[in-house]
Amino acid sequence: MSRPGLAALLALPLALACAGPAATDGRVTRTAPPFRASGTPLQLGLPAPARPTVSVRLFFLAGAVDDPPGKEGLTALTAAVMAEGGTERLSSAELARALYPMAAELEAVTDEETTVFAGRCTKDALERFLPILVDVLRRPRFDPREMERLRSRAIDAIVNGLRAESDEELGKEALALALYGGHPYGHFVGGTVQGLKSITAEDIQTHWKRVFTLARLTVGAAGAYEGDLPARLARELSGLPAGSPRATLPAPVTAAPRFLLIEKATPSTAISMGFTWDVRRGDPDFPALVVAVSALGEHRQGAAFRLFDELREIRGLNYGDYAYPEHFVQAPGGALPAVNHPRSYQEFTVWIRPVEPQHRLFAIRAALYEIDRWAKRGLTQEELDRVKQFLAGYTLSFDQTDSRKLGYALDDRFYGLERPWLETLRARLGALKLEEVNAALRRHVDPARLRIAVATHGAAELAAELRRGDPSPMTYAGPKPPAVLAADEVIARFPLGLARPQDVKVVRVEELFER
Amino acid sequence: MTLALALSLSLAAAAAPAPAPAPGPFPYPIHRRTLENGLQIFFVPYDSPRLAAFFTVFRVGSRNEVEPGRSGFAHFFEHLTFRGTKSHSGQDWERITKSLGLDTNAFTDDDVTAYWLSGAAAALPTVIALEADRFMNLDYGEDDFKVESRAVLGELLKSQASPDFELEEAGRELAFTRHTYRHTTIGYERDVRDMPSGYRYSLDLYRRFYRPDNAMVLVVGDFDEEQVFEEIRRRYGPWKGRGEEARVEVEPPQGKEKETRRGWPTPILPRLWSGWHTPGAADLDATAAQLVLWPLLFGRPSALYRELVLEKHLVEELGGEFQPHRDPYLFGYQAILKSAAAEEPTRAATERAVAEVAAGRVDEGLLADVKSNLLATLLLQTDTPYRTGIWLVYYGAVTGDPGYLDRVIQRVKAVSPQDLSAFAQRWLVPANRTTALVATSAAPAAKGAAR
Repeated sequence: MSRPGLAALLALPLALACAGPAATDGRVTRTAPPFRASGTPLQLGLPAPARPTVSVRLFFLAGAVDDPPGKEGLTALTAAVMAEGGTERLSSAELARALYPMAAELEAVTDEETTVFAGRCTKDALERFLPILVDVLRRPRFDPREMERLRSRAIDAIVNGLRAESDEELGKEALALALYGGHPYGHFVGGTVQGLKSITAEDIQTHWKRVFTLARLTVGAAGAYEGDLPARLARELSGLPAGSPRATLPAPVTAAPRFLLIEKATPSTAISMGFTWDVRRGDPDFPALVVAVSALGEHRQGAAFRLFDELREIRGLNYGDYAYPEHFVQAPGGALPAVNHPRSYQEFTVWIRPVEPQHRLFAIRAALYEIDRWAKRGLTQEELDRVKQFLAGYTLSFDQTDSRKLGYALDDRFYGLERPWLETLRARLGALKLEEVNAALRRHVDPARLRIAVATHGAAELAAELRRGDPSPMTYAGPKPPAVLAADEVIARFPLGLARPQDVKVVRVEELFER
Repeated sequence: MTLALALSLSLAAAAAPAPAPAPGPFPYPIHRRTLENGLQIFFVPYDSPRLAAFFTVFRVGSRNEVEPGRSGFAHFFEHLTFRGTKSHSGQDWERITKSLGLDTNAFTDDDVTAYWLSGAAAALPTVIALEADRFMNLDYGEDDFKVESRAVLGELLKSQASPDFELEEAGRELAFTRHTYRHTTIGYERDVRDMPSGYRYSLDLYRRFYRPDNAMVLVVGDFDEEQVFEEIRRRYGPWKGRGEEARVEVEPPQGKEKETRRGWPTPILPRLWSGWHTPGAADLDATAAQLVLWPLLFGRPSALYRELVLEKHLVEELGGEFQPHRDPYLFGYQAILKSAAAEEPTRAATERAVAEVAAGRVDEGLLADVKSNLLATLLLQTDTPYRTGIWLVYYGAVTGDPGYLDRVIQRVKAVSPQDLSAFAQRWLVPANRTTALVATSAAPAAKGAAR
């Protein structure tokens, strides 16, 4: 069981509505995916009898977008109360104790549109584990003290966590606020301080009945089970309310200014940038964009990729620099993308890990320079060939375990894909041509649409530098090749994409995630 | 439990395949081979069709940094190994491994530095050639060295954003007076900022510790063992030299209780850490006792967790799990307190819980559950070649023998309430304890504050 975690999404009631350089650039995104459960739960089984463990994923179309206005965080909190707060039969402490000898895993993970209750145990523990899992869904205890404890923890995760203890997560979540302000994605999945404070015990029970329903559920199982485990679970969960599908979500329209600067006491500067785009798994252009974005900055895979090579390896600016073609959450214990964070509306983002404050403006420009070159000139043939080979091998690890296989299969259902996404990607890799990839880049990437979130101390000074367009020359302790120094000259004056003073907004960290 | 355990190990003569060992608590067999240059090789056959993970493991970590002003260099050196050789530049290495679709990275801890590549088993011959070349022929210039030092500074900046880092740094520095465990693996900020001055020191570190008799190669997955062994022998066989022992000072007995407090410039929940000096991995009984005692005292099913987290809401989370170390280290806990007022009752409750164990009052049902958890955890956390290998990397590094994992788990099975009582009486006493607290303070913080 784990808390929603800082790395979730965000929510920002802040008025980020100042018109930016592209205030009307919200792309019209096509309607949400066709996956809509109804009536009885959908089922998905991937039996592998020789395995030593069993994975179960109970996947609900219920997420932060279901939070009522003023009750931001309600879905994630309800899921936490279910997964950790005990059942009618077991108190919270008894639940933890019952799972412990089995080392059984049971966690609820909420994202914008989905919540998954993910369970895993050894084969011989399955019959002890299943009744507990079913009770977590069907018979939560709703112990007032547990609800209070978990609500308090969720508030702490914002006030003392997100705002205070991880600049990197703060930067990412602030960017999400900027991209989705005014949209149902527009608040942190973990909630807002005032939203969480306003949630009552009755709210939680009502919400449980409203969103964790059969109409929104897909039951998945994988690994060493016998018989039809998904059907059995579906039967045992049939007492959940029937419910009704969620309404279709509107497309996001980004209205935030170019720069959102967050003032906080911190020795380093965290930078995230990105924009929403109208592509996702299942779109003809998406495999090409996955390849192109990998070339720009595959997550935690080193200097064979542009941003990492240019910013860290050559210039020593920071610890790492990456790019993502869709919303990214890292799976625990490695670099792989976590499963079951699917979204109808996707984003292109870049993560610049913390830099020293004196290099912050140069680092922002260096990233913009690289993105601009990438978007306008595209990939080289050698680069394309290498990245295709990389992804052909690397993606083999994406569905290496039963649990991840199941996660991908559930996400395929979400996106309404008849052919599994990983299969499509692997098949398309072989055939992708340079012209296709670079044409897709030109179609979908407009660097002028980037929004840039910066968590830093001295935000007002940075705002003034940005507005004046101050040059940001770079110096090094040792010699650099002439080509690097020549590029630095360009980077030092690279346009920041600002037209007016209001294209930069400064907020104090205390203002974020408040309501 | 996270990391912990295993192998069954047969000592085979050089180049002779080991007979299949009887399975021990660790769920997969481990086959051991040794090259004449002292390099130890471990194979774990694992049902992962066409996939494998390859590790090169060095028994060097921040423990080896005995020279003043050079904390953090073992980790820094790990970064430098990605800068290449005369045959394969760093860029070459990256391009080749990525063209093979491999997931690659490395990590450094107190006692170990490990390098791994995970992906298609068909890539193993290339991987073996690249990795042997990298560790035998590393060649980086002072300019690259300086650039890479700034990436380490970036990593430190990232870590410093969290009060947990501040707490760890404060706790170690106070608990240890002589032993190098007194600094974190990433090192003191002043030393990290001074890294550019240490080029020659880094070359010395390479010469002294990156030697075949101080290393292990571990391969987990779906591969032909004989073919892979031949490749390893061909590529790693010519590696020469003898590793040095780091002159790590022995930590003297503590003698009296110690405590420190540090401020933090932004609103956070107070962090409380308390740890007792305990024996290192060489003491099998003490290691088994600690593996059991940590969850029994501080884990989710413990009475203390129930009281402090679930019932009284004094603590948001209890952590700080025990991990075996090569030398005597610390057994302790970390509590995220709900408020400053929670400190005193939290410390008092912990004191009572430890006293209960020392008095022999151990919940035998819970003890059985802890042992059961450990075995189930081994199955659940070995679900990929990489995750399987990581257990062996840690347990192999602290003792030089991954088979230590199996021996510890066997010993765990026999741990009795009396053993735990005796352990608590001997080690978990106030004079052996250090406590550190990090909390919001108006006063300037030593580190982590805005500058």
